[in-house]
Amino acid sequence: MSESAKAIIRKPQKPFFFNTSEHLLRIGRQKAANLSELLHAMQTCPDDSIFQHTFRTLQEHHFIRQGFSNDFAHWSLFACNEPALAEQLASVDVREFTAIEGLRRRMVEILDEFLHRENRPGSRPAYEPFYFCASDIVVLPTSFRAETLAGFLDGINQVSVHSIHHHFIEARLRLHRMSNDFSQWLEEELGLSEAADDIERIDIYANTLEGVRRHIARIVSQAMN
Amino acid sequence: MSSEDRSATSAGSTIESQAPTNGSTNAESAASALTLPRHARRSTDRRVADRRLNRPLPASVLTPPTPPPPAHMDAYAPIVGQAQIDTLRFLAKELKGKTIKMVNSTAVGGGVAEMLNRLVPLLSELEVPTHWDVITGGNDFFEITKAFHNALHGTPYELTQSAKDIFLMYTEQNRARMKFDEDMVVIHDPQPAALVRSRGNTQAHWVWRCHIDLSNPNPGVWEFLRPFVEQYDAAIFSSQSFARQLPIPQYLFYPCIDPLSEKNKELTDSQIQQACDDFGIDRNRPIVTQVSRFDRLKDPVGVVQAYKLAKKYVDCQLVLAGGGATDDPEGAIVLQEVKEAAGNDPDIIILDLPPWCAVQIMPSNAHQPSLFKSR
Repeated sequence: MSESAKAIIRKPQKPFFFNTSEHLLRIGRQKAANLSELLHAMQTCPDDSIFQHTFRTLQEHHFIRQGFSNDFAHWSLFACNEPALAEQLASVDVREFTAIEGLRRRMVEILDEFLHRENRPGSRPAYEPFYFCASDIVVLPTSFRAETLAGFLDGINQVSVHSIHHHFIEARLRLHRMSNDFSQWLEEELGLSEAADDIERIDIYANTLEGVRRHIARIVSQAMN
Repeated sequence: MSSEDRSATSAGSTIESQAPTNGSTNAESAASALTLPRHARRSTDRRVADRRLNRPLPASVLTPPTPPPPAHMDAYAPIVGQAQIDTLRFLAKELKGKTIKMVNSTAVGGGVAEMLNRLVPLLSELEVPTHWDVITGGNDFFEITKAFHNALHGTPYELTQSAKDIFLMYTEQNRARMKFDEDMVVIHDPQPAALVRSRGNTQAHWVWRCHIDLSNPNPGVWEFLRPFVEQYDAAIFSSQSFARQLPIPQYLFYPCIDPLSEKNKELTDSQIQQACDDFGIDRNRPIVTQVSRFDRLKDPVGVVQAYKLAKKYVDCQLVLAGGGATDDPEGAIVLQEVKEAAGNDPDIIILDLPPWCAVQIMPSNAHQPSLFKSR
């Protein structure tokens, strides 16, 4: 019997609860008027500011595939006219990190190296300041709860993209592992490790969140069939 | 209330019942000041001088229509998705029974009044009873607050003791008149900002919602207002760059539009044709337009100048469609400046419209992207 066929028979011990999150955006006290100030602020700002300008940027701009995937990269290009730096910062995949501290270190390393290697005057004024923000996050339930694979597919198709972001992208920071809530449930509760791996491999940078939803739904449909 | 006082309104969830009730309403004065040229319909019409003749507005524009009932929360589901509506209902459960008071400086005209007209019924539908009060003041008060408004946007201004005294005198009058029994008080913009003096008597959370750009404020005016702002529990701005260094938490609410408001609805071709006929707009030629209050910050004279640059190369028309607000005494002066800048150009059409002309103006807010709809 194939893995997917077993899954239809197997009943999960635990249902999947689709949650979502809402964010109240706080304007922080730190701002940077040049790259040196950005470096200093990146080193000292709270974790939730790093989260805001990386993970949350992906969520806020979930409808576009073009442009840079985090605010630091975006600002480096458009306010500082540093395309090489912008590309390096944009190439950081937030999904490689299970804690903000590691992500912060990587961003700081890139900026620090750039300022030293390229011998750039970090004090050159940017076209506009970078304002550090952060979010107050409220996690809340949705009306969707899956006790079968079909119910899971139904939830995937109907929840908001914010729920997709919550379970698929933010989950790493909560789980502290290189996975996501969807893959974890499919693997642990239904034994669908192949589908779980396929979902984990969806490229969030080449897709909008709606695109991510469609990919997940396709993978789950294939597992059902 | 003195004869100079502007109307005060106190609204519950039925906000549409609280238009100003003073003797000469903003709408009436706008209407009485309104003149409309009867235009030639086609660019080839040589009787262009007719376009500058003063004619009354069509009755369809002068008569306020019966306002449609406010949209219910579920009506937004096809636009934002049911999941978003469910989220709002869930969040509102936590606030069920809590009351909110909104305070601003005008019930009609301008973006804040427009926003509150929609927001108050929606909050009440979510079982968060929300009341809307409008501060009162004489012309002297609103002249000063308008000067503050411009100064906070960076216009040079000498703040005098007399201006401070008048501002605070009307603040005290409003404090004496208003009660703050709600659980949360949201004060919009600088005009009523000093009402926070009343917070000592209440248990409410006080929030200052600043809709204007404070990125480069006149130091004198900002230093006068800052002590009041610092007494709030939090401030909300429309952009990170508008925030100031303050000891209170600052939040960011992006500007937004109501997709179900009258002025954001799709128009039928016959409605477009009717509006163009009413105002003498030639649909066969390009239209340059600005839809906004007659306010220096919107730079309507600059728009006229830009139009004149384009006009050398493109046979276009300029439509400046706007109106006033009860808290903006400068509007008539700016309108006159615009008329002078327009001169005798028959292709510049200046429309000083009553605030209910949602179909004729699409839309009236600087944050909103749409224009007159034309072929």
